[in-house]
Amino acid sequence: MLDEKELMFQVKAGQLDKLATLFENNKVKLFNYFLRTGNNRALSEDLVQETFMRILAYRTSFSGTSTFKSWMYGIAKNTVADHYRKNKNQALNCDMDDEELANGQTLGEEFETKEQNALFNKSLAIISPEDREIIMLSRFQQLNYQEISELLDCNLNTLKSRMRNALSKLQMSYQKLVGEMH
Amino acid sequence: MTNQKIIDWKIASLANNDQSELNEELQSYLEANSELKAELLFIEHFWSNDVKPLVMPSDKLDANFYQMLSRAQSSQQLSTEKDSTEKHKTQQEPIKHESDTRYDSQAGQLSLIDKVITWLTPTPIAQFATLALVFTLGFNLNQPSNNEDNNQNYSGLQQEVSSLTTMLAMSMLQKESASERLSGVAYSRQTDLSNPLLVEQLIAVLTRDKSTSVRLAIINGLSELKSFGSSEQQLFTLATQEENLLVQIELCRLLLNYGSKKIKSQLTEQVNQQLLKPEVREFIKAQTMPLTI
Repeated sequence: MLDEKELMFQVKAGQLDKLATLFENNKVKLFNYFLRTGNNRALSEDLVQETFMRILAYRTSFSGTSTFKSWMYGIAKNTVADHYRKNKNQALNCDMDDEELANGQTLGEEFETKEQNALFNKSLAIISPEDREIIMLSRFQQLNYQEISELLDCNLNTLKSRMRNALSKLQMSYQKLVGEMH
Repeated sequence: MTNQKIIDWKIASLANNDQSELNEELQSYLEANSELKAELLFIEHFWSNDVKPLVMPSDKLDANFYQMLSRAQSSQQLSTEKDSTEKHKTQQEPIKHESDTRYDSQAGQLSLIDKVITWLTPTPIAQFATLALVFTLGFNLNQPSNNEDNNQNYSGLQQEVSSLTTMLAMSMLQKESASERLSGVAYSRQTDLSNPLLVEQLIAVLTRDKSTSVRLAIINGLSELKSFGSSEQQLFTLATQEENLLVQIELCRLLLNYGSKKIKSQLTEQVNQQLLKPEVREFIKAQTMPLTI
């Protein structure tokens, strides 16, 4: 089985059908990435579509110095940024985790999975977008440090300390929420 | 610094990037540091807790993507054709006084080379099978025996390679991963689709597969069939009942381009009775409309 970098090189060489495999491999995770960054379903689907359109349009710029994933998330990140630049009035994170947060009953006394999910989601929504992004790329998109540092264009040590700061902010907001409940 | 090291180790081990144990020195440091312990516990909790299950996007995303890809492929094909026409024009200039037969044979050679390249491009297994065939053919042709024997050997080998590819295609079509099934479709296109079992399996996968790309690839592959035969009615039923708009349009295109007259008139009848989706009706109307100059 060809790896994603190899497939992207084939797309670059003109075998456009190979993009279908890359799309099938990544569409669900990319869609969830957009959902988790606070976009609704319809917009997240549009953003996945836009990301793949850009991958196709910029295929010749893929050099293979980073992994396909980090290159793709770089494009995804710019796609979101451009979208919100064009639609300044549209607030980011407007409907993040509405279904969990709207329901007060999920914050129960016992920390069972559902309640914990709600707390973790709320904590994630509270911290800054920059901190949330690092955590999400590592925890949910399963990118390794090397890939994230390439994507965010920072060195590995800086990334590690940013990750630690982000996690401690997440922990603080989580504890604050737990404290509010009691 | 030590705190950072331990946290990095924890995240790496949770993300399955590092399976090593914490060394004794760091372990004892951790034992003595309750704040760090709590931090690690939180990280572990967060990482192992299934915060939110993955949400599946709708079929619309697939449809939009494959529409975009198909448009890109068409424009790529158009520009390639344009380039080759221009090349032909420039090649034609110096030899325009030569006979037409020479030009025809040159074009024939070019397409043969293209065909060989396309045939050799796919996967390593197909390449290996091709190499094995070439080697055996070369070996046999050097043996002092009569032409009839050679021809028989050659056609026997061709049949063997074709049946191996058919088997490979049939097995790949049963795989769980969509990309493997796509490879199965690619293998099926290396055969002449003369095996009815393979055609039957392709149509079965086309009927129930979840992946739009696999289904579109099958439809594309079926256009190479000499005749749809008994499968034609099955394809027609599928085309009229299909829910995925893109697949439905492609099925209609297949039947309109390669189907029998009877099927084409049945499709037109469906349009007249407004039994199909408006987009599909528009498509069929546009396809069947006589060209006006």
